[in-house]
Amino acid sequence: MRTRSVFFVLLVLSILLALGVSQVAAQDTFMGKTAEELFPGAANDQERASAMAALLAANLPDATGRFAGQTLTVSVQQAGARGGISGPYYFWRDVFETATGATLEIVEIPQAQYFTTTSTDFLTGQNSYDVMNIGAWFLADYVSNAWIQPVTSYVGQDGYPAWNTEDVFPSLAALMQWQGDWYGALNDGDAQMLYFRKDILEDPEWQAAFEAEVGSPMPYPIETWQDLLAITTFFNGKDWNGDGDPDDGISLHLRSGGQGFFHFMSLSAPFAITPAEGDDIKQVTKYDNVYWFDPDDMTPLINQPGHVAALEYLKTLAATGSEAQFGWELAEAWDNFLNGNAVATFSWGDVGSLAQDPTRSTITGNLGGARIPCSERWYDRETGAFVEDSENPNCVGNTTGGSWFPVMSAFTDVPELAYYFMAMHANKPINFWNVVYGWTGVDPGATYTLFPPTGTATVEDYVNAGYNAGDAEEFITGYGENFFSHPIYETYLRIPGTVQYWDILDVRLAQAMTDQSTPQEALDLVAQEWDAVTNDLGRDAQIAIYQASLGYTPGG
Amino acid sequence: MPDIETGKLLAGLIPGLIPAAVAAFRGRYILAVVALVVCTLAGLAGEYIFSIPMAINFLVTALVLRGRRGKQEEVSAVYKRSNARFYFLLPGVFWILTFTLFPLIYSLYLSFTNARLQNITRGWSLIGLENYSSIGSDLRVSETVVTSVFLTLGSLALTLILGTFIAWVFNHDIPGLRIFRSILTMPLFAAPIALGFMGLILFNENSGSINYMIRGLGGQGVNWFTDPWSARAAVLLIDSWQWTPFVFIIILAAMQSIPDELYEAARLDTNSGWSLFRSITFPLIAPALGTVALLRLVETFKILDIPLSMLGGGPGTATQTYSYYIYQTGLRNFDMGYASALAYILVIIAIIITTIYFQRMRARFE
Repeated sequence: MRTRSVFFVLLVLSILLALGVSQVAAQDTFMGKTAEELFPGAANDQERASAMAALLAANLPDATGRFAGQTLTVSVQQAGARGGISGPYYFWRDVFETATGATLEIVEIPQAQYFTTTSTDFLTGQNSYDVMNIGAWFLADYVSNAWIQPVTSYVGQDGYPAWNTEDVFPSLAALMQWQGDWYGALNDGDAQMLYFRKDILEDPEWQAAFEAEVGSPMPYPIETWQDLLAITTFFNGKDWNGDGDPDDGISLHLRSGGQGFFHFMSLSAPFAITPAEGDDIKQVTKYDNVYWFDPDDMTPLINQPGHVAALEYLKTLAATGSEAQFGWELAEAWDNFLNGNAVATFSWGDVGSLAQDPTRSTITGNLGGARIPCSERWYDRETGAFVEDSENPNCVGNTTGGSWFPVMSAFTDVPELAYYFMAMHANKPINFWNVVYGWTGVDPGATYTLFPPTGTATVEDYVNAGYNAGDAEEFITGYGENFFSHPIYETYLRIPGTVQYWDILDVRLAQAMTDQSTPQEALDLVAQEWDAVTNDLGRDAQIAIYQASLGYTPGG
Repeated sequence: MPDIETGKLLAGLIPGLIPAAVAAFRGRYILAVVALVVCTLAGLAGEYIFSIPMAINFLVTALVLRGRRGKQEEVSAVYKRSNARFYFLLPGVFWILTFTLFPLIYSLYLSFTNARLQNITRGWSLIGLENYSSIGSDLRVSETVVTSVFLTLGSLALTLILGTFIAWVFNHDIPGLRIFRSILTMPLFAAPIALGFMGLILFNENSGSINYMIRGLGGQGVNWFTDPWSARAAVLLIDSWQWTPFVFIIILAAMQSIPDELYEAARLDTNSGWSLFRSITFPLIAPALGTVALLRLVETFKILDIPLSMLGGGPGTATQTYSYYIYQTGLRNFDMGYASALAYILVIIAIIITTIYFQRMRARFE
């Protein structure tokens, strides 16, 4: 009897153990594939395991029955299998192919040629790509030429990876939509924020040295552009990192074609944009909350005194950094800061995550972050005069950058498969994983990537991905404040020809920055060339689209 | 008004009727049918842009092939033996008509239109000489022409002087010349776009080897990417480095074709190397130098790859050449009408230079 009891107990235990093992085994695979098979591009076991955990949490539907044998072609900016923005598409490729039974072809195109290449592809009727990963400023051209199709009807449908459009930061969600329809799905979220060396700026000795030299306390925390200039001016040329060489105050990328003009956009916004009067300070009027053109007649505003003052300021700020900045592209400016040679920079979220990469950064644990600064001086177009108020500076947030997101070709033969791909990368666990692993180039764009009260993420989420806790706190808090704490935001240019308008701005800004012309001359030329572009494209058509993009009603 | 499909059908059928009629008249009925079908299909595929070059090709084919009907005696004696040789010409004729003549004619047409990407869905219209008249008031044109002229004249002078000098050195009996000659020609085989990226590394203001050498010699590093004229000089140096071997090869061949007897006779009067070069070598290599200069002139004025990959046309517009601006206008801004007008101005300049050169050469040899 006793033997029988023991036998039964052992039998039950064996069954439970077997069930447990099988359960664990089931949890460790996705549709029969292990993490090793699904993530061959993972850098290490920790990365692979966390990706597997994200995948299992993603709850991707099995779509092999619908898509087996199909092929999806996706174009993306050229950066390689572990590069920014293109990297995640490679990293999650085996997962996509397993979940759908389809084949994913990734076509990399250099960023400078991206718009040209994809546009030519459509123009010549080749229609090579089912999904294009585009910058937000391409959208107007793509939509107005009917090259892409809305995905609104797919969002929320069963049979696709789930993602919640409510999670997306509202200012970013607007960039993925056109006249109420979703064209893009969440991927990257761009805005520029301020980074600085917290260890240096909080060092009492440096603070005392600043006060002794300047005659006033160091303006820290940095609230305004004027504060930043005072700090970078003080530190520029001093050997504050102890390497024996003079170091830089600021680190910027200012090369033509190197995305340097984005700096000017973020920086100039609080010099040039004013909030509306009344209860709704975000309302777009003829004079308020506009940056690019007069919404009534498309007269360029770029050469207005506020913009010119901002460019003069940018020149002064750039002079507190290396002369080589004018030849730098993005990565060079980042590396200068990450290698500890500059006390501050302002850029996208990539800097925050790259600062955690020991192969790129020597400043891990010393990162400071804050929202983009405000300005103590700005131009009010309505009164035609500058306003100076250091107590209540003008604060304007931004969504500067591409916020690179996938859109679906209007000519794709596999629209459902294309949407599956888009939704998979917008899915919460997968997008969150991409955000916390900095090499992906995917910056926070959804509330679940931020800390409470705005979001639901924790510092541990980032620490588990290799972040220093202090750096994560600084970076994510600053990035979130960039999107949610500013009273007003710089409007994004979303009209046909944006690529051309911005090319012109880029070139003329570089001329001013390299002393080939004064800021006023350079911006006058921009205005003159923008006018020509507007006339070529059809002024009336442009006015209508611009007003619609701003939500502006003439006389309203 | 015909709908879109009917319009496309007519866009193929109408051009196709012309070669079909000519071929039928000459008794080439199969060719006539093929021409009509292919042109119609081309029209359906893409309207006139495909059907017109096809029609031109078939028309030429119909005219070239010997007719089966009509008066054989009117056909030139050259055509009397066989048609086979004409079939061998067809691929070449097809190539030239499709990829040279048609783009030339079509871009001329575009230059009188407001064709651009943004109004492709709305269609485009003829605007007469508006594109050409805009060129005169376009600030970018004057900026880019200055850069192009600087690079063209600078590169021309540098490559001719250096290439001639190196050829003169290599025209002497020096050990190991063959190896050095092979090494010297290597830059010619590099892609200009790659050379641009190489220039980016070499001229990097912080870590580039050029500034490293300058600092090593006690100088101060040059702001190659910041200062507009230094940036232009950097592009000029990379271009000259690539094309000096071309001048060298041509001039060396010209030097080696000069009979030794001329030098031997001259040495009875003088042993001065400079006198020999000035009185014998230079006059005899002058035609080759002229040819090289012409080719380099036209080639350098079209320079695009190196400034594009090296500096993105910057700083500002400092290294934007005229060709760069055409590229930017046509293939980035998709303003095809204006880009075609800009390109035609370049073609006209090239034709003028070439005509002057050949007139002078003709006068010289006559």
